[in-house]
Amino acid sequence: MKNVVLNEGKNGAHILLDSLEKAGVNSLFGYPGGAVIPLYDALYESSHIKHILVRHEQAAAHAAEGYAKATGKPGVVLVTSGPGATNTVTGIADAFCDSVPLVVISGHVGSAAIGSDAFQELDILSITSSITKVSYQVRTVGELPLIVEEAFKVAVSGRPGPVLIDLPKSVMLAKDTEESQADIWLRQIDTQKPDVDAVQIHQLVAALSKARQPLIITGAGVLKSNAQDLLRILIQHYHIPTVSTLLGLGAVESENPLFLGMVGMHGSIAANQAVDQADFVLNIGSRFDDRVVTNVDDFAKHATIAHIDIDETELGKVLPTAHAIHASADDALNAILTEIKNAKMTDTSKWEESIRQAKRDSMFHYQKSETAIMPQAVIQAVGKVTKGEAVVVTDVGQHQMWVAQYYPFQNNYQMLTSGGLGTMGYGIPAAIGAKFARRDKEVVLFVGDGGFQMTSEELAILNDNDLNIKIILLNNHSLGMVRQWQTLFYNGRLSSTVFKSQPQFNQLAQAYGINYVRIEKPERILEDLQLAFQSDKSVLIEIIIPDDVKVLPMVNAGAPYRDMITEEDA
Amino acid sequence: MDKTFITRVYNRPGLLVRFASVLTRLNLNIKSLMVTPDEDQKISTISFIFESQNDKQTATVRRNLLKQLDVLTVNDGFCHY
Repeated sequence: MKNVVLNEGKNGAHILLDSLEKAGVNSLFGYPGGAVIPLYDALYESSHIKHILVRHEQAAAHAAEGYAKATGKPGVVLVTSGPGATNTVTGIADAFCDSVPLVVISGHVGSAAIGSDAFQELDILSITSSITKVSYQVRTVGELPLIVEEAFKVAVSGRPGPVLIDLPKSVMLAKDTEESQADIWLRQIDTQKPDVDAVQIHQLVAALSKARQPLIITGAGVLKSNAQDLLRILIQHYHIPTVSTLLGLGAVESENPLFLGMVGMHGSIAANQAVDQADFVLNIGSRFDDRVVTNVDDFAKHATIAHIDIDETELGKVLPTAHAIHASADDALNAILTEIKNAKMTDTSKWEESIRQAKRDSMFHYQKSETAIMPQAVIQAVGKVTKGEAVVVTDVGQHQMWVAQYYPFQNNYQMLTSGGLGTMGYGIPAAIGAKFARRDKEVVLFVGDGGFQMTSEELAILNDNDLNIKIILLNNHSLGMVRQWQTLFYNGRLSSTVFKSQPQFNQLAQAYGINYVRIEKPERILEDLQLAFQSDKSVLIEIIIPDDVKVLPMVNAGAPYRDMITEEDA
Repeated sequence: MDKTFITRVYNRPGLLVRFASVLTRLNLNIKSLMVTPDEDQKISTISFIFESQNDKQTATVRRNLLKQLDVLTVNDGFCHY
């Protein structure tokens, strides 16, 4: 048992808010319901915590993800029991897949009614057990502050992720007493990062220094540990070409001549060829997922593999790894930069020159048009209008990949997207969460017409809170990515991927009191975008794009990079 | 092949669901399961036997158990019913 100071006179609801404040929380994304009325009653008089009322609980979780991804701090969700909790499941799963720190607080029926099939009573602990780092059910009001403290530690420590706290209504209403503090014990949460093994770093640097064609793959771990500056020093001083995963974009500035953009299924020709040719691949903070390693046997088959990851269980999971280093990216990069000063590096100037050439010749290309607006041109234009400095949020699908390919990312906390889970409907709420976190930044959302319709109810929040988000709706009247697969691999049988009807998006914008612009002329993309971006209010910018444009290059699932489908093939 | 794991865990409610989830994800069944308390009341030992298809699957089970916050160690054991 841990001795704590009693919160005399306060009930569980107030103690929870005190504990959240202590954890540094100033925004909650949530939706009330029967089991959380005491919490909302306590919130009514809170001046420190702003509650953002979403329109669907799934959006609360995605908004909290957007908040977390834009700041690096945990996002917090508050929902009621039963459907309130189950509606957050997709968002929790999304955060789990992308290692986003979330603390989700779900109300529950009173302790006495748990297990009785009471109204809105569900076993949310079991439901979320495979998509949370840990789930708690609070049994006594005495343990509540300790659980909240521990939950925040768990969410951000090691590999970050979501945590659920299930809070029965009876605990919200109970007063703190000596009795309520019996039998409390906490886990020993190790908030320390793992020590970097100096011998392993020495061996890694020795191997790297001998490599003739070294390559770095940078992943989300670099951004999560704020190690982008260290990475840039390594690239710059030792001339090591670099490619990025989807979630790693921003770690290296797009215009860096040694940076070849995204790698993998929709990676650049240059990036994928570099992987094929490399004799040493250093993966920092990504997990070699199947959208990067499309074919395990063929991936980087001429290379020695080195892998740095904060999650030890990722090491060696996908590829045989010669140098497996359990460390956070920042610590490992610091150690490498110290060690490498004493190393005699092999001359890699030929490799470097071929990379620079590939950067000039073999990045991303698309068929230009004078009559239709190409989505890639829109993204390039938005890149120009925002000078590559906006917080960019995407939904999921073709537009997401075009953004990854064509937006000129510069820094951390800039690319917010649903990677591992690929959750359509993520975009609108995540952009809202990001804007709450970074009101000082331009927030741009790219979304397709499919994903837009999944969470468009959240547009109501924009005016509620005077948020300025520029929403680029790339409308091809289709579920474009599935349509692309059907076109390429299913004999063009477009089964359920073309919308027969759609809402009038201008009227939808009007219904939510949002400005609406439709861009129709290819020659006016830049000018029209500049006009729209001058507004200090949210604007829905609808752009009709051709329905048969594909995301290219493409490596089919299971195929080696050399079988890449390019613009010329398609 | 039968595989035995002996794990030391924090004795928290809900942990067995997480164990079951790790196995269910791979469509594996538990053949035998035993939970014993430790001298330290916070700790239990969970030993279980499952039929693994191959070493890769065994490694996946081990890895996904070790991802659990309340799992302290996962060691190989001998099969005995």
